[in-house]
Amino acid sequence: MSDREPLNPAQEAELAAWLRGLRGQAAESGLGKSAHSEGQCLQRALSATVAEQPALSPRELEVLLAQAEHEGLFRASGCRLCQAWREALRSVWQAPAWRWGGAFSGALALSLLVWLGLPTQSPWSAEDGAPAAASGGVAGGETGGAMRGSDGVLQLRVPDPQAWRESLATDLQAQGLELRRYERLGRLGLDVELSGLRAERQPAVQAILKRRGIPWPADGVLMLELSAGPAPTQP
Amino acid sequence: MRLAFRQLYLDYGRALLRECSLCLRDPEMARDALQNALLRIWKSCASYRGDSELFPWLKRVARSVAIDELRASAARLPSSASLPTLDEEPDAAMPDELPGPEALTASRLALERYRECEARFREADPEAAAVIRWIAEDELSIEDVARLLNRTPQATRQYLYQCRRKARHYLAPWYAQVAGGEG
Repeated sequence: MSDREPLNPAQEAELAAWLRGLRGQAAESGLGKSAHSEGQCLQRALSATVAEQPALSPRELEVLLAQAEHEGLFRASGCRLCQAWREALRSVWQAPAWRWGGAFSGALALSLLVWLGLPTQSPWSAEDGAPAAASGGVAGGETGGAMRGSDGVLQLRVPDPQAWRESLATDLQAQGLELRRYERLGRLGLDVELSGLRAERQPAVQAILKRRGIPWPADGVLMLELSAGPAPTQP
Repeated sequence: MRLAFRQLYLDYGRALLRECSLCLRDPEMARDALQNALLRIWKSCASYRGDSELFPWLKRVARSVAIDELRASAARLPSSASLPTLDEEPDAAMPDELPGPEALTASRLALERYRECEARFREADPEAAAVIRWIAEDELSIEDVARLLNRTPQATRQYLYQCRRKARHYLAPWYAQVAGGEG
């Protein structure tokens, strides 16, 4: 028979018995006893000849990582998305036709906001997803002030942004986190992806952030921008 | 993300390579399949709903990729089309009475004989040989195999019936040897 012809009931019963034997299950009420026995023998032989796990070299890991990078698998993180948006906006801004129009629109929007008295930034409160452990740190940590911009980026004022960012980056990298530094409009930025953080390292990272008055981001991506500001106020 | 990907490879790479090697005898092909499997796993990890254990899910993906590679390579090689089929052949004669499973694998000689026969089976029909091993190792149901092979359950029954015939054909010398008491 070919494998396109349907099985007749006897063949179905034989197959079922053979599969039960092959899975190491008991025979069903004497039906297809020899098929069951055949499957059982095969199962025993297969388990007696277990295939070894082949070795994998670190070089193969590097090849795989390079290939994954090449295929853009690491591009889907929040950090990278933010970067893409920023770059897209920057290229639009740099186009000559848009530059003056953009400047005019910006000035108009700013005038309206000032006139209406609407804040462009809001304080980063504990209700915004910060864990209890870090919620008190915004005002009392090493930073002079923390505000969340409308784009979700946490704006911090610190006395020495460069040194402050490097210190934070070093501490986070020591915990195995990936991060990206950038500079925008004179402010130093840092994007950190926390979503891939291993559970056992979470308390250490929370402590690092808390020490600096940074709340835990609810979406797992920490986006910071630093500008020079007054000396930190100690509690 | 890169770190998580590295961890995935370190934790499961060898086990998944074994799954690919069972199906693809060529080590290079197996390694390529592993790479493709890990990339597919990474791309589709959002679809992993956590309602099944992680490793069985990873294995399913790796096996599915290995089968795809096997079929693709079979399509590329015209010689594979000339592999003998059992359609026209009578079923391999089985001994009237098989000894117990223990007797079939108890002696070194019997196991060596089995290995030789299985190697011929894998050479002739790697997919069938791999599917049989996967059923034995993980107690796969017909529905599991159907999903893996991308076939309907009915077509899978017919396919498995053929797998059994092929196994009998290639393993007949082993059955005969052990039944005759030579093992």
